[in-house]
Amino acid sequence: MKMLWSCAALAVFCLAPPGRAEEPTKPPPKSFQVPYRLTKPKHILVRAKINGKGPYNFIVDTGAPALFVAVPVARKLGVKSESNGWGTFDRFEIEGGVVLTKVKGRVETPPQVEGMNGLGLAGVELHGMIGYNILARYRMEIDLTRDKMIWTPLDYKPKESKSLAGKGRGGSEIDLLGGILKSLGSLLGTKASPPVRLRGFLGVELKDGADFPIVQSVLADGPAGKAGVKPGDQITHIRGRGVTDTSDVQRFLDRLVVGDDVKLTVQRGKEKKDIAVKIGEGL
Amino acid sequence: MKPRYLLLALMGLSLVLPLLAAEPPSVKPIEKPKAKPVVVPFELLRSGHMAVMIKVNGKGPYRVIFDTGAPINLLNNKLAKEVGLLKDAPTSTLPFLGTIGEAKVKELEVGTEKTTDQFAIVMDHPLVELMSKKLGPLYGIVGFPFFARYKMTIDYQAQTLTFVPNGFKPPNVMRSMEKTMVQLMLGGSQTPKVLSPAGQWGLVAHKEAADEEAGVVIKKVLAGGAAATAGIKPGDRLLTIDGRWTDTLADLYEVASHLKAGVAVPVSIQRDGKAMELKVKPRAGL
Repeated sequence: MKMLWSCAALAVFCLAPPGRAEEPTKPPPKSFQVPYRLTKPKHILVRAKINGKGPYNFIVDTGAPALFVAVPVARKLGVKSESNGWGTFDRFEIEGGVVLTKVKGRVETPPQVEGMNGLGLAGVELHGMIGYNILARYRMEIDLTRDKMIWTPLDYKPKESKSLAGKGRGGSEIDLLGGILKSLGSLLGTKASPPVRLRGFLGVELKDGADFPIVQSVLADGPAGKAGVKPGDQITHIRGRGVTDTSDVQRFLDRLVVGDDVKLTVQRGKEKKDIAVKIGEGL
Repeated sequence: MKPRYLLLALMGLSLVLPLLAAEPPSVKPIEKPKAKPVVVPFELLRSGHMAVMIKVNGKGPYRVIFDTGAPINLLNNKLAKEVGLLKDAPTSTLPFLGTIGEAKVKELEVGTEKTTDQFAIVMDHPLVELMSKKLGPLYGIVGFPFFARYKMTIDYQAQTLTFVPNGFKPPNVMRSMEKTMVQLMLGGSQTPKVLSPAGQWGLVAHKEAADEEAGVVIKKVLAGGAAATAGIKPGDRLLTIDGRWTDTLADLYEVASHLKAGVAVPVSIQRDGKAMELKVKPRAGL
């Protein structure tokens, strides 16, 4: 239980360290549709390519005074921290078309990111946060009932944010919590982002019928087409298990991988047929 | 929040399932969109953070940080005591974080915008305490449980937040984190996530391991399928779908998992070095 509280503390991306503004580039006067997703703990996550590499995952965080880029990412990009932890990122492109040049950012792995990644709490690997020195250049419309944000460039130069603690790093307790959760994660063998599997492919269009899903059309060159499935066939069973609608078929297919052999039982007119289909790749 | 039960849950795993089953469904009433957007001014702190004034159950105002990176509302013990938030709630004490508990806030006002029935974690967050010392009193953080209910516009130039109710019902993040942690304790290993396209595209894509260029390469376009109808050809490099990068097969399937059949979406491709925009309408199939 106590760990959960630690997670709660960590989940709050609110950092005390300093920010220092750099010269903003002249933004084009147009709005951007910025796609985002919500992580498991409900952080707004956007993807960004830095110097053409990536994409990397960043939290949109008004609680961060600046851009934070995790140390391993900066190292991979060959971006060195110049003085007291700041680095310059020549080209920072946020998914949806937002491009910034010569952006200054902190080269450091915030303990929150370390902790979240260590336990896989976000459901995706985090690489940093986008904070004040970038966010302040846009009027941001965030509506979680839509799948994209709208960012409109402002003619506004973010103020220099002042250093708070002399050394810049605040909250050593939070550092400690991040470390604890990270090592716990490594004990449990948790990965920051869970492994993914791509669903296999049949190549049929389906619609729901009275009792069974009905094949509407078949891509001749797809796995089902090659195996002899025909439009009008009603799929009654997959691997001997009954199906009644298209979502049943979807669920079955989710569990199969490319190369699996499956037996489809179809009702074709009065005839019942078993058809062997090899699950293919594609979508 | 029942810390004692959860502590048990984490140690004695047999108790876990009933606890999860008892999770209350989110039954927040949908707020009807109001005609007028509410404009709330914020203070830009010299640290680059934004601060707003809130009232809790009619008491206040209290100055708090407004943080899109906070999945929970967080209020400190001083505020909780003044407002009487933790009166009936179970609490625990942690070495770094002081007294901690979860409180239901009947009424939370941000500027003039009032919401009801929000959860807040009461805790003296070390970073907030630090900032409080340097920047004047700060009583906590307002985040996701509040702003998720609105179409929110953040304007640093005007120093305003604008809220229009959007009917979104924010889930309780503490609950979902509990679930994740309990799953970790139970299973240890993570189950692979199946990326399952919501519509049928009629294409096969490919990406060489050594290929570091943007996009994936179309390996095959099935005759008569949605991709073929849209004019996609084998050898095309698929760069974005609906404005989202498709740099890996996982990206491609992830995007496709969100796009319903029957709705045309813009697709950008590269053919013979030239950029092109096409529209693809995925079909109901798989």
